[in-house]
Amino acid sequence: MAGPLRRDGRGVHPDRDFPAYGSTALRHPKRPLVPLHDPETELSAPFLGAGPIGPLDGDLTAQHDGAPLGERIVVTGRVRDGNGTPLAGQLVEVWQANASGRYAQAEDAHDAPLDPNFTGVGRCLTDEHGDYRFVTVKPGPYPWRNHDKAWRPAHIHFSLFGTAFASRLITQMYFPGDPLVAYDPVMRSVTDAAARDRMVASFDLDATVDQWATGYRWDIVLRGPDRTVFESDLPEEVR
Amino acid sequence: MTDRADRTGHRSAGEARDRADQAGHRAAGEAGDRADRADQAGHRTADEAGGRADRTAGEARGRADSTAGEARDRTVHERPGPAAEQALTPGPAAEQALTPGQTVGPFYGFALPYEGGPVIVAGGDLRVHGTVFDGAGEPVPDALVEVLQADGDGRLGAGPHGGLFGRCSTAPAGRFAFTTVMPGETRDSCAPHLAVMVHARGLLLQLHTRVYFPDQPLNAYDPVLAKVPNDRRHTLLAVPDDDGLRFDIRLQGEDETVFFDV
Repeated sequence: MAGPLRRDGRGVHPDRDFPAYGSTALRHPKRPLVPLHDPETELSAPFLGAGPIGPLDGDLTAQHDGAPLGERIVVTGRVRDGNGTPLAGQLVEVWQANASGRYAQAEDAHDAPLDPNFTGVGRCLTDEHGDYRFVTVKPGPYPWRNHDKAWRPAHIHFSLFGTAFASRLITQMYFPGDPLVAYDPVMRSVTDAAARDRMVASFDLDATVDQWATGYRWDIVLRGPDRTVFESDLPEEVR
Repeated sequence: MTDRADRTGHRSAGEARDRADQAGHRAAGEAGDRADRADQAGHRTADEAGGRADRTAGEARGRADSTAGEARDRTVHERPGPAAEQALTPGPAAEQALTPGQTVGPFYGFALPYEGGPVIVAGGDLRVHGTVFDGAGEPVPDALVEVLQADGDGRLGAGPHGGLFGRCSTAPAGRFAFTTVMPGETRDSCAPHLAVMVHARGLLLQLHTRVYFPDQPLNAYDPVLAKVPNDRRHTLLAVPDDDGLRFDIRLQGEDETVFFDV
């Protein structure tokens, strides 16, 4: 067990009951959550080991015989905890639609072409500085049936664990300047403007590769350890 | 991005980097230290410049965010970054600027499930299965269930081993099933249990619950079950059936499963 996690700052997460996103109606609990303080199991990290979750592959443009269609991009950033500490060795899973806005999943019925050279799934570990890096193509926006003329803004899904089950985060990264963001109830379910901004990547010249790919930077912050707890408060095994 | 905003963004990013370089070089110290700091300053300032460029672009497009939001954003960017300094600095910290969660969406089935995900312990003699239901009592075929548990001796996260982990999609019929072993009592005196996390389309943020097992004497002393109202405790107990132990998850409605704020 990694010790208690900070409980502050979690108000930025969406309310699970968010009527503008219609599918939440029958899928959010109506009874209050029961608070658990410092449960050992949920404060432990899962053992993901040397890739039981699948092969690590941070280049989504090199998974097939040919290059995928679309705008080649680099997406990179640093994973930190809420105290600012970079998290090294973190598994980062990403998935996304192709440049036309179509997922490589049979259930996606959007009338946009599949790309035989693009699956849209990547995994990597953060390096010693807490940095991750993917090479991919910019995903296209796509329509959905939530409301009239509903289009999801371009986004990349991210999945991370942090130091504990309780710091797990599944989220979506958006692109700067996307006009669809203003109309997207999933994005707008985060009601704090500054927190919403934190879901939007920045165009980044440092990450841009000359003559090859534009670069985007997106940093991620997961719940950090509660530093008001003294080491001597912890069980001997975790000191 | 408009041309004007684009040019402005590039110009301010370039200027910011120049300033950062100068600042870095002014900082005295030994060569390696100086290089590190210049690098960090460069990154930080470039971030800010990027943020400013975004805001400029946003304003140019008429996508206005509140001034208060920008102020908070700037504060976040200008927080001292290097962790080593912060970790040793006691005192009240700024509120965590967490990255908000978002729904896993409908289309993750080609990405997150992996071979062996539902097998927490190969050859394990415990099978835990169930269905995820929505508030209308319909199965949820696009949920993802994850499990973290102690080993048979109640060990979690000891050394390099960590907790035992499993992942199972509920496609196509809302059902999931895990193969594992009965966990032992954990050191916080919890009866044997599985920590369960549910992700789904229409669920904007994951939910935590737990599977407890029938006929475990320790259930009567479990500190977590003790916090759950009597009339809801049964939603956390697996039920024996011909297929192993059944644990249905009801996101809403009558017999709504108890979910935890961890």
